[in-house]
Amino acid sequence: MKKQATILIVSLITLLITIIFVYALYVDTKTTPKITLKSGKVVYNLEGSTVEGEIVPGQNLISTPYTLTNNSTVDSQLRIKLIITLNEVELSYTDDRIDTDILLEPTFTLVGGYYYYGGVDGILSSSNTTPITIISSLILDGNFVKNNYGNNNPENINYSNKTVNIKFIFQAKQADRVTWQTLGEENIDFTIGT
Amino acid sequence: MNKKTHKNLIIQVIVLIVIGIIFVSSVFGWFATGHKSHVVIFTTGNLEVEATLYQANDPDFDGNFLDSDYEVKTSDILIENAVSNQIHSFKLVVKNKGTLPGKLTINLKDILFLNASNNPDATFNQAFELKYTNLNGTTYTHHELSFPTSNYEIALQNPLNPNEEVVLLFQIIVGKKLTNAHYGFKFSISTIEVKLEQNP
Repeated sequence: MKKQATILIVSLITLLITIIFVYALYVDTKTTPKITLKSGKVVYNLEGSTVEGEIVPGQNLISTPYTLTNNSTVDSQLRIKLIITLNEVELSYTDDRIDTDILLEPTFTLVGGYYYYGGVDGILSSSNTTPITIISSLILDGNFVKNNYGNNNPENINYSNKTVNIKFIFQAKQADRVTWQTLGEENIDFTIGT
Repeated sequence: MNKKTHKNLIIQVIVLIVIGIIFVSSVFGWFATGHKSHVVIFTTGNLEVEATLYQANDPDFDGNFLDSDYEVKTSDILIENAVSNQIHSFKLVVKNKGTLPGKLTINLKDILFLNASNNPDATFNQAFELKYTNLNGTTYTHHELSFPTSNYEIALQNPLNPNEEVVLLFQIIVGKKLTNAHYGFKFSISTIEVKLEQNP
């Protein structure tokens, strides 16, 4: 009985080897190298701060300059828009009521209200991680923005308890073939003291 | 039994033996002759397939390049920092180097979509598209809007004759659904299996 079992096992192994051998004869398979794709990202970090509490003319509203740092892993394009409003009225950067040092030019080019890094088609390399200073000073000019309480001249506006708002809009995208997307918005409200 | 009868019996036995020898010799001679004049040789055929993978050197990944821009790839291909709308182009050349015709199948094997923690992501494949041609075709007539998962038969030809060569072009397109949220994710095709099987 034991001898028969041994013969059976040996026969099965032999049969299996034969099948593998025959199969190997009639099938040939080759494989190629592995293909892997890893995704990249477009990321910018915004740093900076403003003063807190009520503000007065002549005071620099920016306590820490606002800077933008490129942490993208791919080449990208960047554009920035700053909207400054005083008493809910949008001001141009050259308005007499403010004194600012928006530091974007000449690295950035102003087109259609947006500052484009390197021009409309400019590309910011992923290896360029030097922080970009956007603004370090924003001062309300006391000659124009003043507390004229008691002044009956109707042309003068009483700016006490009014709001100054700075809004940064940052848009970035990979360098090619996609549309602009807003990375983030920074909205800062100030209230002018009396 | 008399002496004469005994003698005849001996003669008959001898004759019988001689006839037997002559008969055996003639039959053997026939076989021997037959063996020499009807040589039957069985030569075993073989199936051998050769596959060569090429990747297009297309720096701006726009899918526009020359055929001479294809480069042979013999080691793993790693494409880092993939972004939307990139087109990665490949060419696979397959040749039957054996002596028998065979049934050719080409399969993308073990297609994996992993998140940043290396766990499978069920939707990441939607960020990629697959375009491919018919064998020896020049236009990408097949287009999968979501990249297939697991295994995918991309081509079949039966038979592929000895010394016949076929070319498969395929593209991996990074779709618009790839966003910053996918940073660190990866997609891989473990191998492209090229199999040549004997026809039944």
